[in-house]
Amino acid sequence: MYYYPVSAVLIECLILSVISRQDSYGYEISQSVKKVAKIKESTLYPILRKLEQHEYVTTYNQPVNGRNRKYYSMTEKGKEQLAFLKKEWKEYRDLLDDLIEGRMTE
Amino acid sequence: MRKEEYLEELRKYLRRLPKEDYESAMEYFTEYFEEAGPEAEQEIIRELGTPKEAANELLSRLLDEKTELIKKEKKNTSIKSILIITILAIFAAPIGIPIAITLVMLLFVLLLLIFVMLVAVICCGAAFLLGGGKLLIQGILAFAASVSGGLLVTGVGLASIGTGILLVIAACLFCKALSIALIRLISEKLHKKGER
Repeated sequence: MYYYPVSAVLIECLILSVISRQDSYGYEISQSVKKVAKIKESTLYPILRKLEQHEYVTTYNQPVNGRNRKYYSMTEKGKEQLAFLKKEWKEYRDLLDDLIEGRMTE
Repeated sequence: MRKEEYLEELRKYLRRLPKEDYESAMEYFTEYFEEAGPEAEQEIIRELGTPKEAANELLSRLLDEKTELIKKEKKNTSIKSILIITILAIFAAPIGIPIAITLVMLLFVLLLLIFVMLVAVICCGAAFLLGGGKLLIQGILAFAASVSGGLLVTGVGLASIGTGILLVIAACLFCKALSIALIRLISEKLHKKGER
């Protein structure tokens, strides 16, 4: 895994991206995020909870193999937030690249 | 430690959270363990650390999130639930007893301070209101003797009532800002100690 830490806001962006493609549940979201970021479950859960409380995602329960699975699904507000986070991320990433590669012009 | 024991331990630390927060967190972790399957159990436990460590991480992050919500003036966020989480976070933190006592005292002082300040400012506001009311009545009565004198006294009375109302509003706003600032201070301290 990479040496760089991943910020909570970036995790927010990653989670929203995962959910935007299709509804997903805790374990699946976590496995996707963990492919790119070293993050503890105890860090990930509060971020997911925050997204829920800010109404960026809604949840519904679905029984699977005799137990319950909580699915997360995107809201309109969440789509807006994701668009914002994506835009910010791209600009930020390009700016960092420019500085690192010496393309920065005064 | 097995899954059941682990969840039971975690439950102890989170039990006093507001009901909704507690249930949601426990559901999440129970479901997570189930989805991962029994083979992954030990791996998950290793990643989470001891139940106390996991609880500390969860609580201090929940606290941040609640203060953020309060700043945004969102519903479902009462000062009471923030206080509960703050106290829980302090006790689940991997810190020595003396520091925990200090933090609890700090919290206590915060409450006392807010209360005293509220009483003081509200008394002050009430004094202005009462004084203003009296002047207002006197002013109206004084119209019979002199119009300009009546106007002056009535005006001063009204201004005094206005000041009283403003004071009370200011007191409420100030108390809110102060509580958020102090809770932030505590949660920062918790983070610093937690991230080792």
